[in-house]
Amino acid sequence: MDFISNQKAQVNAMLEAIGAGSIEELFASIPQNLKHRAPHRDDGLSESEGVILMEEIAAKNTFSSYESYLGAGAYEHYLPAVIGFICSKSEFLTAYTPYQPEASQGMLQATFEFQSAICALTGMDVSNASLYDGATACAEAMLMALRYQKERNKVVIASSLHPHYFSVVKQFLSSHGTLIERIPFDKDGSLDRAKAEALIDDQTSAVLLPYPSFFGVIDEIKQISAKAKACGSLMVVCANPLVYGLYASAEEIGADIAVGDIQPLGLPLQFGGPYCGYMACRQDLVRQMPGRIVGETIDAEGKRGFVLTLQAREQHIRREKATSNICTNQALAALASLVCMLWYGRQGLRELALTNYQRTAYLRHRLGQLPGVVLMGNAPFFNEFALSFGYSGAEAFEHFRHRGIEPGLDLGKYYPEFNGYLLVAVTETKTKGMLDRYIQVASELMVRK
Amino acid sequence: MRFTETHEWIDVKENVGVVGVSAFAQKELGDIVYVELPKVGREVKKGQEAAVLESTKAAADVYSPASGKIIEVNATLNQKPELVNTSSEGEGWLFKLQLSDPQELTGLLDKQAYQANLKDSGFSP
Repeated sequence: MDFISNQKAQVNAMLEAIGAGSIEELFASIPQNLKHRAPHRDDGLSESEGVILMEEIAAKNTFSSYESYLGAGAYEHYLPAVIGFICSKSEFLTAYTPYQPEASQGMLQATFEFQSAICALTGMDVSNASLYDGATACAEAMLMALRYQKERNKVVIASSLHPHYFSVVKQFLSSHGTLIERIPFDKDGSLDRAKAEALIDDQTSAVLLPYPSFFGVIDEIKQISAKAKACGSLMVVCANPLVYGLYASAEEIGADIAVGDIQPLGLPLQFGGPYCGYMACRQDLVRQMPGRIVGETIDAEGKRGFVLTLQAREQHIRREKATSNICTNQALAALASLVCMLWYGRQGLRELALTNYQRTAYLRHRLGQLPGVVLMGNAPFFNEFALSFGYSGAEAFEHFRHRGIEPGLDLGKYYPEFNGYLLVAVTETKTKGMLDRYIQVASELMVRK
Repeated sequence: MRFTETHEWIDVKENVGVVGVSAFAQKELGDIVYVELPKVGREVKKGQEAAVLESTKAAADVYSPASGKIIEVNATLNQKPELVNTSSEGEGWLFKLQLSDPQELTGLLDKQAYQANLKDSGFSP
């Protein structure tokens, strides 16, 4: 539809019809101080001048000139070129409402393959078509568990879960009056297993544990799962999906529901989003799972086809009793992660995860040898760890940033008990040369002491 | 067998009521693909949601026609939910209820009144 603005003659005809002499008269009842003054008009900039202006503004952002060791839930990974190529195909990029039943067969098949990949990764039976992000996936898993066991109204959540994720979960549960118990962690950042097991009882609907934790720690989840199972509680594991390339799958550590943010597999950092949540579960929980699921079927001619399934509990049919009222699925983001997973393949993901671990282990080990450096502990880790240089956060940051390195996250901002600690993430994007530079800069900092 | 205006039926013998949905309800819902049954031992109040019927096009709550304790559920429906379609007022029963207040039954409709009710609402039973 074209937009054709009113001409003076039409405006006058309308004013005449309603008996107003002018536009000013029509709006006379609006106090003068509330009226918008006439906008400043000039000739604007030419296209080329506009580009120069925007480039000047963009150049003020020096983010990309730093070697960044920030992680804490969002990880910098190399993105194979094939991801952008596939995702920018207009059939996917501009597909009409990929969340409606009339989605194209191509989009449905891509979603079906995404679900299959998530199941292969987590070891779970069934996956949905994705959720909004990792934090809401955790919250949805809690609601799912509460629906599954209506007579229970308590959840047990690790204190080492990403604090942003926890605040989203808390917000979701606030209107349910759910009792939230938190599992404390030890000085080395690992969960207090005895306390965890003591908190889980026959009133516990779900247990939510991170994998790895916010401190980068791989906790021994299996034992806590066994306690949850004995109490009839559902075990929910929130994982960086890449961890499954190296460590035991969600199924193997006793998860009933596996959730997380898919960002590390194929999504750029994008200053915080859009990311994409994933959720997979045991077969017998599927009817409580929120969001949509694409199924494989055969059409009237016996040909293989794909179709949205188990829809009767979604909000367009069940309204306020729907399994979820945010059925947002991040179809394009899920596609990007699917392409990434397919590109690396089973063996490639293993190697990618191992590379992340090895480079993290190298930096962690070398830093740990510097006099004065304190590692948070010796618990198993994946691609992130916490340490203290014995300086206040600000001092250490200044030293590193001055030398072009963003050394990690100031952990004290989130956990006052770890004041002075930095959370350092290392992915395959950091070469040995870069890591050695970090070590060199750190040793200079320690010598200053 | 007595009916509710929300299309459940209850058949009471010796203070135990068998509960299901009417032939009209199953027909309106279409092919039932899943029945979510209540937990045995659960206490329900009259009018409270006790089960969910899921068809290919809708998911509908089943409200308990009376108050009491669930003492048995029709586990056959886990494998054969279609029994609700083929035998809604027989083999397709949903659960058995130990009544806590048999007086509540007096407010329910007999088959004739239920069908007259449907007709008044513009449906042919």
